[in-house]
Amino acid sequence: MSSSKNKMVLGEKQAAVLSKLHDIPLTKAPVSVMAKSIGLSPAEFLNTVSELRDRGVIRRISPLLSHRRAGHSHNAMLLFKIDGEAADRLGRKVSELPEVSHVFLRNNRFGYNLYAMTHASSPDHLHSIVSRLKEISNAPLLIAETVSEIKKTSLTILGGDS
Amino acid sequence: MELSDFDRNLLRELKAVTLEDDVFEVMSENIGVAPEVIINRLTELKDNNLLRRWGVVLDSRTLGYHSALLAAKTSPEELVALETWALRQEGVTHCYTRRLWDSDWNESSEPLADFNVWLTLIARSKTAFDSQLAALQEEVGLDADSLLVLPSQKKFKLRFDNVFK
Repeated sequence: MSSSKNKMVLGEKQAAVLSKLHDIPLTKAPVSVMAKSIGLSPAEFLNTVSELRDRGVIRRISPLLSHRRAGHSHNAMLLFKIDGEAADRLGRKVSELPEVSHVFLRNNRFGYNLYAMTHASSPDHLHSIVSRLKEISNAPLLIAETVSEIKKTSLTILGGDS
Repeated sequence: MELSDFDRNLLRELKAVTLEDDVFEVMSENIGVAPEVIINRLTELKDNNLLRRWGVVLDSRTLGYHSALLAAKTSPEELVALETWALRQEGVTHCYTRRLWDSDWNESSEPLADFNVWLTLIARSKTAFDSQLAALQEEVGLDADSLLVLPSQKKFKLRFDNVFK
């Protein structure tokens, strides 16, 4: 796995700032509110945010929507049976589709190595995305349709036993 | 409740602004609505669970975390045990039951189609990851053939929340 970033061990202050940043309060002066709750000045809080951003720990700060509640009710994971350079080419091509959010290579003994998550607003929409993908590639394709959501959260700073 | 054009605009703005104490005042100037209106509407979207949260997206690799996609083949009883386990683990961020079709939307007869639960597991280290995996197998009673561990070798695309782009 290639990575140009250095791994970073978090200090106490950094961990505290990150845990506040997980769910920023929707209030006036949110930085002051968060900073005060962990005993920092707003400037100190924002400096730590910049530092964590520069080190690559913070990828971004953004509103995060619930896909299923926000009109993307028909989601599927698509699995392509493909490997080597062909998988590379297809991975890049599939990534160009706006309805596709995640594309990863995950080699395994079944040969279905390329994974793409797609989000559609209706069954017809999902069918049309699949049709477009079949035009792009004739690699064997499995459609892993979402039946039920057992859990959907986002990554937080993990505790000691995780 | 559904996202309106105003909501999408609001979320786009929130995504674009820099985190500062005056963030809602800056947004107010950009879109011409009072800061209180912005805060109230975002709160409403959050209360209705359209907005999960406004916050940080972490880079798990920079933190040295180890993660993989897992696929499990379960009986109905094992599924209940797996759900219980997944809900308790903070390192399980996504867990779905899935039905697998071939590309013509027929039920697939591929061996992979028997894997009905798909989840992501992330841990502080490879050692912690392996011990959680062992705990999962033990607690749910999954043998090696019923659990597939799929770490990523390469990332082509990773983008969240394309809804308001």
